[in-house]
Amino acid sequence: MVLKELAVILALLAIPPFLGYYATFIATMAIIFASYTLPWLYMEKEAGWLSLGNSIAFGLAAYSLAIDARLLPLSIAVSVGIVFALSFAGRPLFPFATFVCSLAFWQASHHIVIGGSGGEEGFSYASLPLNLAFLSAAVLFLSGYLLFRALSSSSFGLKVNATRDDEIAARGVGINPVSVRLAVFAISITFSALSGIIYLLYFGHVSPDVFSPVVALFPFIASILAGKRWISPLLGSYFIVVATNALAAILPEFHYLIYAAALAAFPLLRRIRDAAETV
Amino acid sequence: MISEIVSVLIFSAFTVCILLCYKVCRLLNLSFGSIFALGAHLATVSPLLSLLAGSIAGIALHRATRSLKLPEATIVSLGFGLGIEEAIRLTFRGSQYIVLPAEIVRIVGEAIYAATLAAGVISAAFIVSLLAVLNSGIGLKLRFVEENSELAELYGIDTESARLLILTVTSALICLLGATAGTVQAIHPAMGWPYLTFSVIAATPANLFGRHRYAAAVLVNVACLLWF
Repeated sequence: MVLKELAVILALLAIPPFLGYYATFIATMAIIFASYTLPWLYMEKEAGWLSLGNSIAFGLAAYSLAIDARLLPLSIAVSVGIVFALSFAGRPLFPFATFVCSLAFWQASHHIVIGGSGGEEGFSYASLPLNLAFLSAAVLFLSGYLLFRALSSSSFGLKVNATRDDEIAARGVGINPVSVRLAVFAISITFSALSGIIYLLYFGHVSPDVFSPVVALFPFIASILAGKRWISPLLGSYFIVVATNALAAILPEFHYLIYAAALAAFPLLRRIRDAAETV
Repeated sequence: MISEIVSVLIFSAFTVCILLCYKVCRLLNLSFGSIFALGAHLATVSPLLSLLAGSIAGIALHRATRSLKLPEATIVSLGFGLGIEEAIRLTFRGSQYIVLPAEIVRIVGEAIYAATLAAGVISAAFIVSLLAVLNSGIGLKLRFVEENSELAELYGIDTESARLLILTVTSALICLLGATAGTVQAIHPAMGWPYLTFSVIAATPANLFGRHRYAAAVLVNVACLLWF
């Protein structure tokens, strides 16, 4: 099963460069968003924390690098701190607390102006040649895939699963749920930040849109559409990015329709998936 | 000063609507931003149309979320909002970032857009009437639904109708506020997000004040005005 999954991933990562410039361009975008979705999936699937605020780490890392690379560690620490603090709102409210926080960053980022640049236009940065950007994104995704798979089957992964299923019982067997949560958030947020860095290096530009609802909701939508296996981030991202670009001429901002349909159908899809798992 | 007071009233009404939906309808209504943008776009046709459109949106959202728990209902409301936003984008394709002509009036020597003033008056009227209603017999029933919806239903209160009423009224109000904003600022499909974001953030501390949360919503907005 794992080998089959790996073969599909390698095919999806290896084929686009042979299909020409445009296919590589689209695939790079899809793989960057898949790399951004992977740590989200780890947080949701393994630890049971559904975050709609990983865009904070993604965007802050890109902004920090574009403004001053020395700000990067601070941006990651701030992102982890924010998401961790919001987790004290409890699991049911956590998705909405993180989502509203990411919206606040979206609004605030319009007012970041340094040395005459920034604002709505954002910041420019040196971009990588397409092939190199594609390779960087592919390596990031593949390493993330292997890392999160390894983490999920490690002894640390068992602790994470135990706190997800029952925090009180986990405490009873000597696990500190708060430390485990902080560790999971730190890993997930740091990886989201790395994907934000690749995003900046690919586009050579970062604007307030990195904090927009489209980016904040992307991992959640990808998981609704493609499920929660480790290959799902790549499949979901490919679907959203390819469909959006293919239909852009007929329906501008087509991803909004995908998002709206997926969110509206979420309760129904979840029930169907739960029923299938029970059977 | 008049402009600031009007802004506080508009944001307070938005915050109160968020709180009402959260407490009575068990839903963090994330579609309000898009309903606001819908109202603004409908102002290019007729501002009154926004009342009808907002009511219909509220009824539709009620039907879509009535059997769902808070997290699922909230997610559906977000999808509903994004759907409205895309519908606006497709319908008003040629009119993004349009500016409509607006009347200016003078109050106590201060110039203010007539539509903004109207939005302030509508918001104030809504908040005052809500506070009055909450102290009446109907208000007691609403508070009962807020505290314990299942128990209220057992005592014969029609919680379904209360939910429908709140969603319809708040959506219509937000759409109408959007229509007034649409006549004084550049309109685009995503224009409601800042209002939604700020109101949800303001609603969080206001909700800590228990049964005084609606009055607290106004105070939180006043505090924000003084802070900024």
